[in-house]
Amino acid sequence: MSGRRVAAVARRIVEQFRHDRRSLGFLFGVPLVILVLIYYLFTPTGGATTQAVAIVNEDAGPGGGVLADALASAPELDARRVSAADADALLRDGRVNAIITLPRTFTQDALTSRSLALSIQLEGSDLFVNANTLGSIQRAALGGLASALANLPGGASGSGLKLDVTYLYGGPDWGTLDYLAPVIIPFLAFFLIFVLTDVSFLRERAGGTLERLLASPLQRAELVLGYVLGFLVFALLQTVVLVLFAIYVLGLRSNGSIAAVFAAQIAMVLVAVNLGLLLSAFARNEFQAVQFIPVVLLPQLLLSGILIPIQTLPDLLRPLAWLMPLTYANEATRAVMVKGAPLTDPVVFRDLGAMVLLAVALALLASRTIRREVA
Amino acid sequence: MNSPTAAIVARDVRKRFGAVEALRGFDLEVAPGEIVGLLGPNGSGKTTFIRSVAGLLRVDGGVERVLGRSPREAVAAGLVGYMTQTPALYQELSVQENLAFFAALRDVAGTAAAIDEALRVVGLAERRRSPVATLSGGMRQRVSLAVALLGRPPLLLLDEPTVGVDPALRREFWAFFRELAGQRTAVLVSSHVMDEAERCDRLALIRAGRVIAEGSAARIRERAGAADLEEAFLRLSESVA
Ligand SMILES: Nc1ncnc2c1ncn2[C@@H]1O[C@H](COP(=O)(O)OP(=O)(O)O)[C@@H](O)[C@H]1O
Ligand SMILES: [Mg+2]
Repeated sequence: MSGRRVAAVARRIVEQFRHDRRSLGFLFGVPLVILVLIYYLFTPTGGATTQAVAIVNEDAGPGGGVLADALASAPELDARRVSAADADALLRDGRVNAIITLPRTFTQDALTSRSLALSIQLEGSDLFVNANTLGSIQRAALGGLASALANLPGGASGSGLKLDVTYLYGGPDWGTLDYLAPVIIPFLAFFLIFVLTDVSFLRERAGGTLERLLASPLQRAELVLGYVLGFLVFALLQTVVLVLFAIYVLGLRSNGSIAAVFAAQIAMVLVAVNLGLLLSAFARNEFQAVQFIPVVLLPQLLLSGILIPIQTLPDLLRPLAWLMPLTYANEATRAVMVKGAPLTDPVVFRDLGAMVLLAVALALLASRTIRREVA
Repeated sequence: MNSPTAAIVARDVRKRFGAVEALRGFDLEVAPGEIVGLLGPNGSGKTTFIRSVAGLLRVDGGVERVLGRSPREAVAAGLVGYMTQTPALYQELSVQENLAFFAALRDVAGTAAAIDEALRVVGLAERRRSPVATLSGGMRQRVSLAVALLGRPPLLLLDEPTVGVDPALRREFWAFFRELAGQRTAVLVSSHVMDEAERCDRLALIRAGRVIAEGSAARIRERAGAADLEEAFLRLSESVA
């Protein structure tokens, strides 16, 4: 063991970094940016900690109105009181997470049987939203119940409150993984295809073959398009395997057409390949190309609605979600697999369109970036 | 001099990389059927000039025409075969697959026959199924040359093509270059090996980004009053320094 040799190796590493300013920037910049992101994610700054709900009061007696008022003013809820038909429309549009219905016999039940029941219909497509919404409704209802009962003639004191929960989409028989599959499948595919493209194109430059390609009639746009097609072949196979395995081997549920799931995957892969190409063309060496991987993936993991519902993101970060390609893939895949939406569904259609536009923009940028390095 | 049929016309070409002036007023003309050697020490600008002819650089000044077009247009028309200084090949692909790929990019007619010919010239016909990664350095160099030869483009740019190639094969290479030149192919070949230079029709001695002498090997020796090219180069370098 020679201290001098060890020191020589250590010094060489320091010197290499010193000559690669951009890698050095990444080394300090990336964790700081991610840390700031996480800081804002988990510091309550007025994001949607309240749950949007619709309240439908059908109670023939006075009790329902009192409880509805109490719910409407509960800090946990952002409630609006509407008719049953309007509530249904709001739920289907995703503008509220749940409908709370106070049944016709609410007051009567309170006075006679002392068993109270609210019917709750959850939108249901997101596991975490379901849990948050139900929790908020429970807290708000328990808080409002005492006053509702105290106001009843005879001063009833309800012994318990029952929530009859039904689901518009999904349901109690949907397992955790059933809910997560529509976000895990796009994430896995995005991750693998992005890294694969990033590294392949890096090798093209490091091996000198890029120079040879650029000294041939091949145009930059042709190169980018060729990459997209080449990787699309593997991405399609991968998607087929992933989706079929998830549904037929693991027995995960899907309400929608598998063709629509594939369509969403294709759109997302187009983005992944072009993003990989762009960043790889931008990187000057292997180091930098590899460091782009966490830069791309971590924000997507946090901001695209995989683990944290987009509606609960802090106000400051929520617009960023719509810069994440995976947000669109997740929303579309969830709409298809959980809600059973067809390809022609406006949300699915919009998400697919957004991804295709993004892919085209990235492809144009990538071909420009490849050109620039030759000059 | 400014004939539109010239394979390469370069006038006062300048290229700077940051603080380094790689080309400082480079003049050269190459006619069809001519083998011109770029002879100069490492770092004198040979590769930079060849890359500019291959349309890979935006030069800072001067004029370059390749077969009557801009370098990029000539390359886009598939008129230029370029052998890079270090063999740039796909390691996992076989020799044959590499050649087929580059042939497709250049739209080479009669691909199978063109590949066969290129492989025959570089003596690798039996290794056509081997992955490039399993070849020796010299063999890769030969595959790289084969790529440039595909379809017999009217202009060949060869950047130190015979490095790592044994003398017998080197002879065959030159015989083939000669054969191509006989069919009006223009060959621009760089080297820092002086004996190889004797085989060129014409030499351009390069020093610090400029052509300091031009002509046949015999004429250059004579002009410098030197017994061999090496000495001639040293004398001419001093006289311009
Ligand atoms: N891409 C580049 N960036 C910076 N400097 C370069 C680049 N290419 C060449 N040079 C510099 O230009 C000069 C000429 O290099 P080159 O043309 O490769 O010489 P040769 O091929 O004759 O050995 C050298 O000083 C080299 O360091
Ligand atoms: Mg060189």
